Amino acid sequence: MGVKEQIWEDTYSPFVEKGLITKQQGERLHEDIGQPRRTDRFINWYRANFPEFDEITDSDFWPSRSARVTVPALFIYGEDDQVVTEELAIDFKNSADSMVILPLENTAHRPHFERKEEVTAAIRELIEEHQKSN
Amino acid sequence: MTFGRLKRWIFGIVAALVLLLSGLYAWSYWPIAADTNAIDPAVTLANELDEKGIKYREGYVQSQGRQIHYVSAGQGEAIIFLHGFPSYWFTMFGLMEEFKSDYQVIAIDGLGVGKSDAPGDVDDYRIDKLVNHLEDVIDELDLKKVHVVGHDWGAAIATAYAQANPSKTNTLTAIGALPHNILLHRLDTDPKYRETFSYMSLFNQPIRF
Repeated sequence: MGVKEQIWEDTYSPFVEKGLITKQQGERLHEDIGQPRRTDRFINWYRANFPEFDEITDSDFWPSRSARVTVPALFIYGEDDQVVTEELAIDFKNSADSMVILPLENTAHRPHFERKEEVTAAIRELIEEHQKSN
Repeated sequence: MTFGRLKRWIFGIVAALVLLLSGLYAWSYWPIAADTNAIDPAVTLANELDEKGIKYREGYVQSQGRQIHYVSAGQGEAIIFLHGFPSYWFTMFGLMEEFKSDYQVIAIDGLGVGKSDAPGDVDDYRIDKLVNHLEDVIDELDLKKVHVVGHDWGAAIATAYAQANPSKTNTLTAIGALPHNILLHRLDTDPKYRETFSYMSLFNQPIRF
């Protein structure tokens, strides 16, 4: 199976089956995502920013290794997400002056599809709190 | 086999190899330019699905000589939505719909993605440059100060933007991914994460599609 069909089968087709997006939206995503040459260019995001792990130096970090988040912040992640751990979430919180962490049960890597209502409510709360304090 | 035939064979094989290698080179490095005149079918669909009479419009911002595609709807304080891998602006449509009545919602196709330009030089995709594209969109649309919401790679870019531009950031929402500096630091210092993220080294190899 090519990369385009694989992305569709693994990622977006299940969202249509679960009724999280319409068939029409799914067909659009199926059509638009995974074109091989475009995907190869997209992979440059990894190639350009993640050196071999034993060759990482300070110059690979931007803005810097110790850069902090000083604005009000929210981190949302699914507890079933393979690329986020609680330990990493705590690293993130420790690098921020004011951060709310929202772990979501039975959720994987795409909470904005899987738990759209909770994600929307959490973002709205963050923004409205910020507006009140200004 | 005569010497003449052998020469023709060798010439043929060399010519075929040169063609194959230049084809591979072009596939990997030849720039893909955005077709800025064509309407994005995802924008058309977004407007068909609209029930609030708040339409999506698309545009391009020139940033470091590249065309960066963005889609915008609504009015008010700006919220910028940044997609992850392997996605494009339309994967943020669900959230944009939720906020477009009260805010100006803007989603961007990152460099290489969707309807933005896709140059062949890997260095063009360094995170500082990806953040610079975002800064240029914000300046070009005269937004001054924004809320940023990113998923996956978009979370890394949104966070790097907020780290570098606190005076131009209202709030930051990161979904499903760590900031680049935090993840890279763990990969540098904590061997247990190298296995989890080993798929990234696969990306340094030639890819089979």
